[in-house]
Amino acid sequence: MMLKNIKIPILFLCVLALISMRMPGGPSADDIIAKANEKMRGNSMQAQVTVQIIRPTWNRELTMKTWSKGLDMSMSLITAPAKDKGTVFLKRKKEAWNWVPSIERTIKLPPSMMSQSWMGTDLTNDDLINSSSIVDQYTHKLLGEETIGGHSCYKIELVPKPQSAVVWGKIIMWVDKTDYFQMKTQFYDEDGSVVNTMNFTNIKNMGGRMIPTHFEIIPADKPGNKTIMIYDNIIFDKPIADDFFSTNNMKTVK
Amino acid sequence: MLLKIAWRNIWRKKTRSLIIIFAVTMGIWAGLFICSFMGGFINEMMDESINHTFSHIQIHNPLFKGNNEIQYTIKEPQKVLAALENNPDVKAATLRNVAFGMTASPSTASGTKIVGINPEQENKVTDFKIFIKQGTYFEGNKRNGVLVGQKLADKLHIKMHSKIVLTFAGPDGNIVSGAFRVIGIYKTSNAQSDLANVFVNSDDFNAMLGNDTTFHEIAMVLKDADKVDTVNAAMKKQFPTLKVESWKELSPETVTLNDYIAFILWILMGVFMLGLGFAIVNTMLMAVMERTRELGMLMAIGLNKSRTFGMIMIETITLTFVGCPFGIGLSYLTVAYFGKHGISLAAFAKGMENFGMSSMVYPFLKENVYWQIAIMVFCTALLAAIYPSIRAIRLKPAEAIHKI
Amino acid sequence: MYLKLAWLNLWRNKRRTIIAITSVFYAVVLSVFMTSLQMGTMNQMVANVAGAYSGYIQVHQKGYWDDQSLDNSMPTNSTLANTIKQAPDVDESVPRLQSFALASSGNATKGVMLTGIDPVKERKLVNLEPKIIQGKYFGSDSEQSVILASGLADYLKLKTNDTIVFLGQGFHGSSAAGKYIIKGIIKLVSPDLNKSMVFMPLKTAQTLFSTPDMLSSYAIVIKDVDGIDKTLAYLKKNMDTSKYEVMDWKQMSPELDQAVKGKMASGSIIEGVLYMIVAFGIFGTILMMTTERTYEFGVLVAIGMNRRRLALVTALESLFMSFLGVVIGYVASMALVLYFVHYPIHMTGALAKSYEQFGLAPYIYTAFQFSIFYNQAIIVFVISVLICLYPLSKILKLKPVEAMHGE
Repeated sequence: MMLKNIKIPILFLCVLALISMRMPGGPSADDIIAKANEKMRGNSMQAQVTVQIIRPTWNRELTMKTWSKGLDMSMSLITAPAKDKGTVFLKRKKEAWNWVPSIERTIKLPPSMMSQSWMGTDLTNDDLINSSSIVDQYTHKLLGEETIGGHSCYKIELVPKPQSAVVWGKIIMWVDKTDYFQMKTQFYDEDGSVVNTMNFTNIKNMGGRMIPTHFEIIPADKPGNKTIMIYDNIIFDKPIADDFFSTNNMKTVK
Repeated sequence: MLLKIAWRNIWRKKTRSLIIIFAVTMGIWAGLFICSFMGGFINEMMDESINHTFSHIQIHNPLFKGNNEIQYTIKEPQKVLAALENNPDVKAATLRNVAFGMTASPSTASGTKIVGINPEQENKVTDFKIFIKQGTYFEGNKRNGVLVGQKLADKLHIKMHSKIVLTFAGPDGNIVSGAFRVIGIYKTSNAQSDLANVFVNSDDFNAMLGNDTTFHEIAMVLKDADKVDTVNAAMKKQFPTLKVESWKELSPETVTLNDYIAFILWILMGVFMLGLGFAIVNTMLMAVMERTRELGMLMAIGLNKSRTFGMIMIETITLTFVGCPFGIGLSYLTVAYFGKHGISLAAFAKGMENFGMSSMVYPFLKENVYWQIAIMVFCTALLAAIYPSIRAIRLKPAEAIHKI
Repeated sequence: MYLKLAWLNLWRNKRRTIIAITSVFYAVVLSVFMTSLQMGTMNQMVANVAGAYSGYIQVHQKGYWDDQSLDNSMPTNSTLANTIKQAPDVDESVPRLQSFALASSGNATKGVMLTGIDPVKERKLVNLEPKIIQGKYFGSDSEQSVILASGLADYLKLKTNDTIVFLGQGFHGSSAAGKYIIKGIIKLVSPDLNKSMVFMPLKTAQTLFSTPDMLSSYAIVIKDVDGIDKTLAYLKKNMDTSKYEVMDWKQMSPELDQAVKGKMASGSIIEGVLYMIVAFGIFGTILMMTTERTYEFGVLVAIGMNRRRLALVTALESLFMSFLGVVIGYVASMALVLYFVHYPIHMTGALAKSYEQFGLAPYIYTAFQFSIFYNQAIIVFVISVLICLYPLSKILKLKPVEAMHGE
């Protein structure tokens, strides 16, 4: 009789415990990723960026203005150095164009250019164009928590869905628990080796949000190579018309 | 009568006769051996070109030039394929898709030609299967499997079961990409082509484009390779709206190489025949000197000049006839043996295998070559015999008898 | 004494001696001719591939060959240029700047290999002018124009005087972009090269890629292909090898090297067969000669001549004959090869036409190399000496009575 009485409460406790583990007491991985993306981009974003290309034997610096709307449209205008000034990159969904003022031509980027480095950095054209795929091309799994750069972060594993056309075996992202900005991302091949690392530092209040303003991209197989993107100022959610992102506008945008 | 004398002469002087027989045998053997050797080379090259790369005849849309023109597909490909399968000269035909794009791995990317094939049909047309070094030739019907060359696998740092992304622009300019898994790695003798070509199942290719009936290329093999030109011409008439080309039109370099080797072979044969000719002339001249007394006596007792000439010529012809079958027989055996086991050049060229070039030569001869060479040697021997015979009849009988 | 006897014996029977000498003579001439043809075709093979584009030797910045990017180009250096000029057998050092770029016209874009050339010096290597099928060759080394390969021009639907645009990456990550007029269109042999090559005057290319006064390579044209090792050694010794690397065509095209070695291998087999035939010719002659002289030998031995002495004299006779045959053969074969050097064998029919279409000379060449003459002469001499052992053995076993009954 005692046993019977005890069993039910234990069973009840177990079930309760199970339910509470599933309860949204903490955010799900999908939520975290969605929030992180929204944090970095907002509905729209305008920014001034300095790009530093670091190599063992030389360095180079570019400055540019960028506009983006959602995940599908973005435009970048190079403002310095003089030789590259006026060059524009436009992305709409999966297509990209390049306007080069010195030759007065708009060139649509063919597949063969996709894996070429963008403006000499450690990012490829493909990286710029397909960065929107993080959300829908991967399944997200919360691995736990870790502290990065003094910030307590969620550690999330992104695994490509079977039909996703991405080269990575998996991606690990560390997202700040409080403000949901990315602190670190590592790209792995299918053997589990790190191929690329992105570090996010210099958290500041910019454009009304607490976000990292220094992005550092480090390729694993090229020691001494690094690309740093520094956001000088950002405006979030200022409405931008869709037709701003057009091949015509590339020629006149300032 | 002359024949009788000639015949007796032959068997009287066994050593001399044997030498001539031996010369003819060796001449034929040498000629045939060299021809078979070169024949083996040519064979290998043609095999490479036809069986692995071009097949006998290919059909494309006339605007398709192998330059990214993915929009130029063949109209009504299934109809054309059916017509080809009904053609009595065609052994097998297969449909292919072709696109130029990028193959990317986590480390890097490389520009490649992406070829969609129907593995079963393709296997009837080319023998590409033999190049698979790891994995399979699309066995098991796994979705989105891709076959890559060893050189590309090295460049991209990938191996069996690695994931790669293939990207290319579709007919409307939209860029499509898909994730594929390496299900096989191949290696041919052409490293550049290993770097540039990846193969997927046509179904997967068309799935990327959302369309299931477009094809760019039809390749076929004929039952009789020698009929290529006639069948090619007939097909050009049969399909006037399509571009029909034989391997000769697709790869004029192979034709040229073929002709080049044949030309060199003629020169070599010339040199050999000269060598043989001189050997016979010299030997016969010496023989005439040796027979001076005998000839002198014959002429003294009444054998006139033309008959003497005739006698020596008949001797030579007979001996040559005897030598021919030995020569042909020996060559046949040599070609049969080495044709099977091959002759190894490895001692001289250790690195050839690294570049996929075979270091083995498999001698090969067509039947008519045997007769051609035999006739060449026969004529050479005959011509060679003329000069010594002339010298023979110039002998003065009286002097000849007195010779010491 | 024996020498004198041997010599006199030879000329006692002129006809016999001459026949024997000629058998050796033919052997030398034929084997030299064949070897020289083999060498000639091999040299031709290398010349058509290496000599036509990459050059027999190239000098680059150290590390360029493994990573052929603009970042590995070298600044023009007069010391280096001079060292190259002074190396033995150097005909010209051809400077080049090369990089991948995207060519665009209208809606079509394609990846191309862009090569900046010195219009004058490049004539000695990739001689573009005769390959031009439309338009003209460059007039200066800094004009804003390009020459395209015809396959590329077809794809981009361009002809002479149209404008073409190039986009790519320049030195140290800078962008390269430029607009140029198409001055000429050429047809290249290899269909793959014909779909992707673009040539530009050197200074124009240097401006496009932001590499002023810099080069990817010096391609070296050599006067005498056989002297390539000397040139290579000189350059290795006199160049600063911590900064620069020098490579020959064998290192740059190892497949070609192996193909040549394979050809040499098959050539050796063919030569072997020829030796068999010519050796036979000599043997037949000597055999007949021995048989003819059996009577004479029999008499000599019967009247008391020591067999060994007879053998010695005969041996000396053989040596003389072989020697004379080889020497005369040596001289005659040199003349023969020289003739064909000046009047090479002309290809016939379809073969000649295809070669001409490919822009290659439709001839088969012979190689005039002293080592060929020397080696073949020695080989034939050895063969004939060995064959002459036969008569010696016959003499030593001679039974005089049988011999004299002869016939």
